[in-house]
Amino acid sequence: MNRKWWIAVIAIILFGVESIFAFIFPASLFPEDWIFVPRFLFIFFLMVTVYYDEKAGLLCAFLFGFFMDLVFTQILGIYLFWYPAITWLVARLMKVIHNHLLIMNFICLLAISALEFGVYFFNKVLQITSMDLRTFAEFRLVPVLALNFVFFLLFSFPLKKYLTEIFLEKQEEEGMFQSD
Amino acid sequence: MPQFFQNKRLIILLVGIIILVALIGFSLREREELTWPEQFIKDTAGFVQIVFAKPAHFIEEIVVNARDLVNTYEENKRLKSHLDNYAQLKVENDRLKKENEELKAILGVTEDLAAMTPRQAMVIARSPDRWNEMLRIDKGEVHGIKKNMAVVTADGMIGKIHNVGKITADVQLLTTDDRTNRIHVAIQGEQDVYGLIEGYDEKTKTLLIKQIPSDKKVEVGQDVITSGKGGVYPKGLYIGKIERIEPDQYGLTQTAYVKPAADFNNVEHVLVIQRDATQLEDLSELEETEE
Repeated sequence: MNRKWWIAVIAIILFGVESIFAFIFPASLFPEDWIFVPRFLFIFFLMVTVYYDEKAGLLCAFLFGFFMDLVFTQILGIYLFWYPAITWLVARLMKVIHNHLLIMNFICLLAISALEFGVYFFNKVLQITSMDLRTFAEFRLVPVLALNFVFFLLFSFPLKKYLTEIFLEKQEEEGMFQSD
Repeated sequence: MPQFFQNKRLIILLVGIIILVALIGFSLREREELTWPEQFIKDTAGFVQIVFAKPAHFIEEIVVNARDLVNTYEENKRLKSHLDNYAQLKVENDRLKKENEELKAILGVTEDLAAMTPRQAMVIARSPDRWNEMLRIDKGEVHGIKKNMAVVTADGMIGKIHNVGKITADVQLLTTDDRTNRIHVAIQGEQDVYGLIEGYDEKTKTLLIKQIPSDKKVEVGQDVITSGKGGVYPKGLYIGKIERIEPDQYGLTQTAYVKPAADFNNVEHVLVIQRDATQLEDLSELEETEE
């Protein structure tokens, strides 16, 4: 089996983890009003886009955005739009910036903030939520960034290692075809 | 040439936005049933979620059991004292039930609003972004789950079935801010007062019963149950206790703030309640056949 198929496997695992996150996360240790939202899948897509292949990352973001909408939000178009849109922007941005892991960390947090704001904006426009901006920033944005920062610290290094490896493999293959 | 590409990009963007708006409009519509591709993807995702949820719940239970072992002695003592009352209560319950049945038979009442069939289900997923509070359970159409059935935990009612797939179903919580989320309830006092639950107050974490006429007497601490008169839920599902009562600005009606008995943040096992009495849907079907 080609090693790049592990991208799909990892994505499905992260999807599963996100969906049971509410049960496994010890939310009782934190103030009751804080809302922790895992954005692990999104971080993974950003890393795939930057370290492996832009097209694969965008495709994943599009597909799983669609799944998220179907399975959880029930409104087609929220994640279907924001996942690929922000992934695309990050891909453009990383063309000009050096893709060191530390910088990537910062970009990821920025992208997650953009995603949170975007989804909040859609929910506000569609009148699904009545949360005001202050509450949103205080009880939602900060905990979400903190949680995903921890995830990034723990998993970005092995993920980057794997993605770089398959990237090199891919390059080698392409080089082989060209030399023929 | 660059001019052309610029235009093409613009057109793609415009078409994309149109499709996006159309999709959002399509999914916001009131729909009776999901389209089959939606169902298929949901059930596939549901299968993945079950695979992840089962071991997670299993491990969690072990942890909880271990924690429980520490308090066993204290708890045992307390339960024993309860047990003495329990036997008495059970006898009385049986007696009352029998008496109730006999009286009903005398009166010729055949339909019971409180009649229900519960089904057990496990929660397999919860929407990770907490915008719309949605739970998924591991029972679906093949297990006899239907839309709009009530969902309760051991403590009280938590919501209703919103969508049904083949092997999974979505539960909409009472806390969801949705105008179709209305429940006809009875406030239990000397004389029952009826009202509608109309929304959820985020700040105080209470459900609102608005438009109670101000001449009706309601008190803090009274219990709120489903009335069974809305035609959807059975009678007698416990919802919560009244925490605060507030007159509206003209003094004509009052609003009751109800503290829900169930903990919405920590739901793992639920019961899906089917109403056995005639439902609104059955009635409309009857009318159709009569016509």
